[in-house]
Amino acid sequence: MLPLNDTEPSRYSFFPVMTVLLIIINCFVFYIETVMIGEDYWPFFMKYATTPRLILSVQGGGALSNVTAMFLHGGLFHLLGNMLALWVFGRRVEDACGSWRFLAFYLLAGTWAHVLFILVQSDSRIPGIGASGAIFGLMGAYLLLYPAGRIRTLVFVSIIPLWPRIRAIWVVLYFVGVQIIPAIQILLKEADYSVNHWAHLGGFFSAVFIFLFLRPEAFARYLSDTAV
Amino acid sequence: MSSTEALQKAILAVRAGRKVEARDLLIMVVENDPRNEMAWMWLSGLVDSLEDQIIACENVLTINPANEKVRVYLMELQKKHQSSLARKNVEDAAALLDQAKIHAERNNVDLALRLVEQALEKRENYEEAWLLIGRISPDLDRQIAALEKASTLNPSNPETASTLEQLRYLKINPMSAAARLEQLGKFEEALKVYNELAAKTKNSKEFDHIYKQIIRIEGLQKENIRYVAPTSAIVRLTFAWPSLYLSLALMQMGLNPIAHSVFYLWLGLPLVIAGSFLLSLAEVRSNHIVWQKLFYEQGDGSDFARFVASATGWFLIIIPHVLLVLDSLNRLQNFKIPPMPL
Repeated sequence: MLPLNDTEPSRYSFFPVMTVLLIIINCFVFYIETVMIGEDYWPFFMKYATTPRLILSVQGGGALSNVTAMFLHGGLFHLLGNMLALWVFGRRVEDACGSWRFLAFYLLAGTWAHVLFILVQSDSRIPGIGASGAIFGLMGAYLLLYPAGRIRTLVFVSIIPLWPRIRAIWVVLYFVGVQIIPAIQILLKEADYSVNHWAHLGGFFSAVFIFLFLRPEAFARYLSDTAV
Repeated sequence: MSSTEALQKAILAVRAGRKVEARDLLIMVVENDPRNEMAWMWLSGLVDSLEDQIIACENVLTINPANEKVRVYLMELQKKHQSSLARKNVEDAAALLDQAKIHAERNNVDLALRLVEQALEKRENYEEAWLLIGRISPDLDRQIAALEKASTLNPSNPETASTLEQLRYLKINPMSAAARLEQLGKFEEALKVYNELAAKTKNSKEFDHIYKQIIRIEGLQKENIRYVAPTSAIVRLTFAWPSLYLSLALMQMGLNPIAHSVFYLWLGLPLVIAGSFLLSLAEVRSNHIVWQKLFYEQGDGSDFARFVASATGWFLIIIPHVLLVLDSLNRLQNFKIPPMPL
């Protein structure tokens, strides 16, 4: 299942400036990562990724590393998947918040994704990278604001590709649902994953903060049970 | 029984303390002989109400205008009567105003205004009643007139003076008045003002702006969008940036602000809150006291005041975040990279 696009129009703004800017920055950082850093990635990640042990022992970049980690990716598909999701879920969340508050919410969701990751895997020395924690925050916010929204999604039935418009609630619940079992396994130390499932869940739950960031009219619409 | 006998019997009854009997006898006397001065005089001391006492004394004076004693007594009674009437009016007016306030709180403005008017009929110089009209009347001119009256009655009330100044400003700036009505959730009245303005304006740009506002408010009404007070929107948005700063600061302190507390990071928090407040204030149109106190402006803040508030807000938000980044960079400079786990 691959979300392709949010099919609903924006209400308040013509263009999602910050979403596009975040995509550009992520791509640019990935370029620096691959072209300039190359094989010698360990010191770079230690400095600019979120490593639970370092954060808890107040070593390394702290808050700065927490932010820079949101812009680092482990491979091209990691980047493309995240950027696609950022575009799909970010556009209308930005519309409901306004660009700057959207940025603040994005960083907040990413930070709380890391907080949960650090708390659950506190003795880990493996650096956590990727925008996915923040993007799960956007997914959660999208679910709260536009539960009836429809997402054009690519699905394969056997080998046949289909792209139906699926209700946002099912798309988001699918992506959150697939995090739960691996997250429990990590908690019970039964398995080790290269995907940061707890950060995804942390980001998702941080979506409750979205109400602090909504435009006044969007908030009034939410309270009135009308399309935000 | 003759009138004279009845009068004598009545006097005896008064002296014996049988007042009711005496009064009945005297009433009988004056019914038979309405020009019996003595009977009216005795009766004036026996009737219950002040009004009846006055009537009795007046009858005495009609019969004998030279009765100075009764004249003086009548003047005293009239004074007493007037003051009791005034007291009653004050009490009635206060009761009416209390009811008006209750209806005003329930948004029954018409009924509240009718009650205030009744209160003012009872007591014209009732400052509180004029103030209530100044507060709740949907008619700006009437609000101004009411507050002017209140201000005349009590020129030392600074609140009245300040509200009056604001209302005069809104009268000169009807666009602000319409925006203000919208802020108060009075969409119908705001639409009325906008429609009047649209009919009056000859500037096409201004007309477009007004038309957009009309379409927007009509849309809100059609979709039945709930009214959210500007103050609550400001408070809500004020917490947006501090929540991010607090999360980042927490991360900087290793998720343990007690063990790894960094003093200046805590100092940054009130700055971010203040900055976030100013940003919210610049965004949410409201008749906030900040515009009056800091910028000496009425209404919901001029473009200049909003720009200054917004710029100051950003400055206050950015500075603590920059300090946070500098602290991180400082830590990175002294950071020894641990070996890669095998």
